[in-house]
Amino acid sequence: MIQGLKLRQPALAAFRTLLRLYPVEFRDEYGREMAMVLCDRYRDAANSWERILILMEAVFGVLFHAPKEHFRTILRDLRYGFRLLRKDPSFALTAILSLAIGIGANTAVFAIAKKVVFEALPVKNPQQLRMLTWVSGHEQPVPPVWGDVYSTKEGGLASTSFSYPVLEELRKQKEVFRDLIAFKDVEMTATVDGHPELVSAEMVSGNAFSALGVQTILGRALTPIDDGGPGAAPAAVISEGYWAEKFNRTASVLGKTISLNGTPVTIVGVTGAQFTGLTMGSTARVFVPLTQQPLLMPRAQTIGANPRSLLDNPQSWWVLVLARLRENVPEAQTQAALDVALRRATIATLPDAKGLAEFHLRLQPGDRGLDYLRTFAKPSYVLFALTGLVLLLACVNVANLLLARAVSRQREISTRLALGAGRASMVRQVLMESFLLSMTGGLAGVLLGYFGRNIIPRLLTNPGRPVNLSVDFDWRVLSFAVGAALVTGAVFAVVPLRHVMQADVITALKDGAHATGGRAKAYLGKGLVVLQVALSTILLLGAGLFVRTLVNLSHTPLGFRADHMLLFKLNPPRTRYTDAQMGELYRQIEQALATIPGVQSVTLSNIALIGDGHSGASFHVSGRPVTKPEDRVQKNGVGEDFFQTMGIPVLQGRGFNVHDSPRSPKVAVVNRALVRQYFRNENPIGQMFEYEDGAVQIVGVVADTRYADLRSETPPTFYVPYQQSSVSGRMMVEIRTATEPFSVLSEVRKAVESLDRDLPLIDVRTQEQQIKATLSTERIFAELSSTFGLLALTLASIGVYGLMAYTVAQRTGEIGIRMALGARVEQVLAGVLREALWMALAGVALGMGASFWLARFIGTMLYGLKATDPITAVGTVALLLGIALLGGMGPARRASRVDPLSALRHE
Amino acid sequence: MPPRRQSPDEPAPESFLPLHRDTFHILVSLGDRERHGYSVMQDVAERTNGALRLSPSSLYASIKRLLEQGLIEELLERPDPKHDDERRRYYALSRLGRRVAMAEARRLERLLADARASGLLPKRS
Repeated sequence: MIQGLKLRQPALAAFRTLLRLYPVEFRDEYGREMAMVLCDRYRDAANSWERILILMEAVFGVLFHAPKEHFRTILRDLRYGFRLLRKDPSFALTAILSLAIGIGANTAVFAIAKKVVFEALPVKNPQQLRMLTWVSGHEQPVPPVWGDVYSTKEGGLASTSFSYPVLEELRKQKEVFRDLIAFKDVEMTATVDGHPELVSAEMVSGNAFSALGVQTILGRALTPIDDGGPGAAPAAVISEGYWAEKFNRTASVLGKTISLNGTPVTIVGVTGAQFTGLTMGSTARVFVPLTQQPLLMPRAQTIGANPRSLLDNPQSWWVLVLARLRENVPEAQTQAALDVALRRATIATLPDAKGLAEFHLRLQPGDRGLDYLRTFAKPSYVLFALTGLVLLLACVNVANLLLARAVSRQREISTRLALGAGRASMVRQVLMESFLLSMTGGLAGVLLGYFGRNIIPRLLTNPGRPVNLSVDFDWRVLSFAVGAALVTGAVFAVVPLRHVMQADVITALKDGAHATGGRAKAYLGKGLVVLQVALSTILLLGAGLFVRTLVNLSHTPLGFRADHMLLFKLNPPRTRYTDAQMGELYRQIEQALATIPGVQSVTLSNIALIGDGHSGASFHVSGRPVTKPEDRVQKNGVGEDFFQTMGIPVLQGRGFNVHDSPRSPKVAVVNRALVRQYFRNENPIGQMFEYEDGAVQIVGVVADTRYADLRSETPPTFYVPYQQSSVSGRMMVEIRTATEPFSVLSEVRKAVESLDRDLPLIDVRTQEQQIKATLSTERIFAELSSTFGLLALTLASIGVYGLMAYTVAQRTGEIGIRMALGARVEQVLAGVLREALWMALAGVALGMGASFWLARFIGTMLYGLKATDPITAVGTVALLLGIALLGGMGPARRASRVDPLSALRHE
Repeated sequence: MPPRRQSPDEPAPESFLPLHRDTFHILVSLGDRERHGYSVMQDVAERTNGALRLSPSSLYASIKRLLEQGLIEELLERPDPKHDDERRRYYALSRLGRRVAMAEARRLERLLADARASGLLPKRS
């Protein structure tokens, strides 16, 4: 017994502490009783054994029941919240809709950004991968590269393309890396069951699959044994998507022979659905051994008379290389060892190479392989910022609505406080309501985002060259949406929370529903409206800038006629055509197409104008001193009717004609930009210049046209007849039609098929579509920012209206007195409008300031105007002030119609 | 006995059935008189020969729910001021609570009768 008494006090204290696990109301209500009951039982227990049992029961009871009580409380709050929302459906609908738009837009953009910026290749330990990159000074030390060479921030050059002989030297440094994975992304004509189709493919080294840890779901992967070279039977692994699309997922695909660029290859395996190659932004359908390049993708080699394979040609830099690091070798050591090997191998294979002093190897992150999506990173960030603003605006809007509601619920809150409801429970109640709103909004937002997830990538990518941007909704996107909803809820809950915290029982009940803390609340309300106007300013200004950029770009003079033009690409495989045969094929195609009814004229060119990339060549005017580095200009090999078909005026001399054949003297036509740069005070006609294919004579000058895109100034360009220049393989066919361009397509297809049944027409589109496609990013920004801007405007006008209506309602008495004292109707009207205008002005000023600060981030995305463009700014200000006045007009009129007598009586 | 007429806003007793074991025991122990929490606990333990021991947590969770459902009421006055610890709270069956407890008892009675009819239990003599 004595022992029992000794234990009793600490046991009870412990039990009381444990009671804290209960919701505060439950504890307040029953905690003391529960402790008393425990005390009684403890006292009445027969022996210590039973006392211990009683204590344990009590402890387990609390642990079991406390969470249940919490759950009940939450459920009850939720039910209460639902009832409140149902009672005020217009409030609930407005709030949920604006949240849904905010969260939906953010979710969709996040899903895209995840793909564009964050996601790694679906291979084993992608963080161990490094992309080998060479950097150099201003002078390019290695021969022209098949792949991208880009400028570095330091003013030098960089590229991820290496020559095969160099790769083989790098491979010998085995001790500093685990694996070197070589690959090249290419396009091939795949013929399955007689149907030719251009597919994305990757040539990979035999070790690629095992080094990347990529499994096949059927058959086997490529192995180093497949690296046997052109002598070995070519094996191919296909992607799961290609398997499903072309082979209906049948197991009999193994051992099947398909033709790639006319060469039969045997399918030996199918990769898992996740893996679509080492290139972000394209989906490889077929994987073949890199060593089969001479067979599958022979390329013209200009060294000597005999075509050489790329595999033993030190002059061609084309292979992309991923290194998997060794865990126990520091990255710097790997880079240093590979750098030494690269320099040694380059000097050994290219004895004449210059600029090697600054030629070095760098390890770049390789977890995204060859990343074509990186160009979308910046647009994604800007989109994120835009949608972030929309969400913030939605928050402010809901906060404003909640504030208005808090005012009308003042009495309810005070009454509940007076009746003994704890402030804590009121806070929880408010949080639960916000949670309910934000979660419902979030749910609707996720649905919106889910259905809208493919809209943005579709707008973002080029129909001619589809970028693989499949956006998948996974747990990360969902958790983002939930996170966004929670943060949103917390942000806008601040307003009503503050209200509950400050609610004062006595004054609230005494004063009734009006006027409690009127001044502070009015400031808060005004602040929110100012913030709304400011956010709207930013969005509207951005919309104005993006829309005007799009308009400016669309109205840029092209220098040629883009209407009634049908374009498509041809890429006859070198496995079936020699250079001479290819030239002959193109000539025949030109002739065949010209006879089709509805076709006015036909031409070919190496690249299409606008949106088809660049094609550089060296340029040296004969007789002038040789410059270092050599001058480079743009070159386009074209058909004889090119200028006439494209509608490019010949300004001086002549265009090409039927006499400019492979056997006649070589001629060229240059554009004005080239004349300006090289023949400022001379007549260019008759001058000679040299480029990679030898010396040519200038016979004509044509007008400038936009070249690779709409933004850039016309670069100096020369045109040569394609029959007189080295054959590049692929050619663009341009057809001017009398009527709608697609009306001749079926005849065109027939004509090409009659010459080569296995030659697909690639990327068929009109010239206008081609140009429009280059504006996809601009268009999406113009469209999305206008939508958001309009939304912002609507929300802001609702905000102004709501606040002014509330103010007028509150001040009815005061207005009545003033009118009774002789204030005129116009004065009352002006007073209310002035207030609305002041809020709008403050918001606009705030928004303008923020916009000009933010503008630096989008400066490069604009065209034909600056971010501080005065026309856009003035337009935005006028629009917002107009909207504010409109929003204030209703309440102002109501104020001016106040009847002094009834207002005073009411008072 | 004809069913007693219920007031229009009072829920039907049958809508509460079947009752949770603890709930029914609490209602039964409040059937004869008002009690405070510990008294309920003792009564239940006695009637079940110690087989059912309510912990303070389960007792007050049930009491709270019964109060919310309107099956019991808290007394504002102390029934026996002399022997009363004035801090204790007393509970009594409400009219609805009594009807619910009776409905549950009848339900169990019928169940018992069925068990007898099917021979699971010896027929009453």
